[in-house]
Amino acid sequence: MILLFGAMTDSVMGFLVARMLEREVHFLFLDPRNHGDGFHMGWSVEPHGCDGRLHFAGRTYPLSDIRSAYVRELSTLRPEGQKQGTYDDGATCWLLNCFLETAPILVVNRAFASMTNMSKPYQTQRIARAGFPVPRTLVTNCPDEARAFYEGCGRRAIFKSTSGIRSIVVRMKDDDLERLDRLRGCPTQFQEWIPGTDVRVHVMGERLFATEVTTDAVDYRYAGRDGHERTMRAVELPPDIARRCRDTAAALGLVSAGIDLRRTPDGEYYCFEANPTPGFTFYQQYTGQRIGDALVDLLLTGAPN
Amino acid sequence: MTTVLVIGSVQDACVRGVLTELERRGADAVLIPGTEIRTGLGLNCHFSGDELSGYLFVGARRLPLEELAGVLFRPGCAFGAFGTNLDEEQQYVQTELTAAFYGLFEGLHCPIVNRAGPGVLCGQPFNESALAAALRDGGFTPASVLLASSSEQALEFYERHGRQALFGLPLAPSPRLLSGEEGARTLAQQSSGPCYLQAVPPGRWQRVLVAGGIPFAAATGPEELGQIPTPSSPVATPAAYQYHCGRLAERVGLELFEMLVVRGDDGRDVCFSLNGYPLLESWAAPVCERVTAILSDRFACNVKRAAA
Repeated sequence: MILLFGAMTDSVMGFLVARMLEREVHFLFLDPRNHGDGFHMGWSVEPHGCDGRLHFAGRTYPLSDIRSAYVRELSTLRPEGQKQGTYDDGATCWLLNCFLETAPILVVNRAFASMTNMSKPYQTQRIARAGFPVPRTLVTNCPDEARAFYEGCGRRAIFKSTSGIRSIVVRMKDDDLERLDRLRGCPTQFQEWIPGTDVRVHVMGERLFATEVTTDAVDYRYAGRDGHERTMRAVELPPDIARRCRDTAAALGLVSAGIDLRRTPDGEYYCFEANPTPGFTFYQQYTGQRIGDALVDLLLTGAPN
Repeated sequence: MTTVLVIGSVQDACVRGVLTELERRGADAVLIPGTEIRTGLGLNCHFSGDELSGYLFVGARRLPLEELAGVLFRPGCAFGAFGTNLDEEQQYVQTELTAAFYGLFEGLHCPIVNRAGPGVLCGQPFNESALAAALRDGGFTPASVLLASSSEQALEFYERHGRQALFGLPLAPSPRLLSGEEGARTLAQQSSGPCYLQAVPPGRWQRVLVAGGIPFAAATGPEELGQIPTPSSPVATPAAYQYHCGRLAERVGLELFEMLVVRGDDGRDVCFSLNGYPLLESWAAPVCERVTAILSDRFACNVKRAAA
């Protein structure tokens, strides 16, 4: 049996549920907001192993029936009107995280691996060690240093958040120099602008799906919103780049990842970051790549991690 | 490498002790009080590949990162300055600052007590499977645990483990000991909601402080759970502890930590939690002096190496 954690309104979860029904996969869809009402669980971890049960819709399932779990979202789901960080919200998240951390099953992805994306400069260094070139980066709260970095990059730089929150890439312009004083209140990440074509690589276990994105928008995810054109197509990666993608995901402890690359005009591949919960439906609906099916395959056959 | 950076508060015995010891040795140390972490610290971290360079501004002083001989980081004091009940904007700033520190610590090659970041292993073994594995590798036994939101399952576990267990709620600061009939009644009355139980075997309760891989143990008991224990003198530790704690320190990557352990009558050392930011206030003066000397040694050997 496979457990899916998230909200049905999410397109990734909707896709997985539909595909699992179609393939007659035995699964349970668990919305964390229903914990305690729609389902509850209990398990023990002892020297001889892990044992427990899950109660869902009047039925009881032994833990040994669970083969794998996919986690789309635990922490930010909450009933409308309820503020984030309330006790129940945190308690449920805590319990489910403990389960996902200790259960001897395949978990896509465990929390410790997903957390690497909470500090982009932390993750960037790990990615560099896995073999990818990464853009020169500055994290600063000093306006003069940001100004010098911008000039040093030939006025071709971007900025974005240092954590995973509000992480929208913005191309820096001369006008931004006037508001650099605001940096003093919060460190911000600046990176040299790397010219080239975006390639999003979805890693699903050992399988890779590379999607080339052509646009003149700075952050292609928001191209439509910002009035830019965007085209996407499936591409093959050079074997060495494919190996580095697998190495990067493994180095970060991620079984599944959305890796953001940019291929420069010289043919070099830079890596920006690895997303632990990629919204793959956005890509496959344009390209027809069977990314979600690969995820279902992984959940059906993957080994405990 | 010439300077030790201390991020914390002089109210903290660990910070005070290390600053005093470094001063006695003539080593340079710079303190960033937690209250000034947002306004008094200039961060300039340049990352090129996995190489870090840059500098920090502390007041008017410029500290090149390559000159740092070590960092003492006490996040409770440092990030405590943000307070609680933060609005969304304050939460965002705290998250960004934390992310910046994680990046900084990942790139520094000098000793950091303790290095904070994703993958750092501390807390309770059932929160981190890697911590449980590290404990086992270090010769300790992670306490048997039940996590549940049903009193029926909790009672079943409680009975199976001889009616003695630590009982805790998520996000609550500390567990408490349940035992005998009264403990069973407490569990029976527990309203539905997540909780955990850790089985407590018969044996001697100990706090084990590990600094630079060297253990110090003190007797403790359930009455001290959730309290800052009375400063107590160390008790003798078995010879194997030295090896086990050194190995565990390597596995968890922490220079300083404290564990709650019950040395079972069967000889097993059952571990309930591992705190990465222990308070030296709860240890007798000779232990504090030894610990601050050990930590200062870690920093000072870098200072000396640079001077040589």
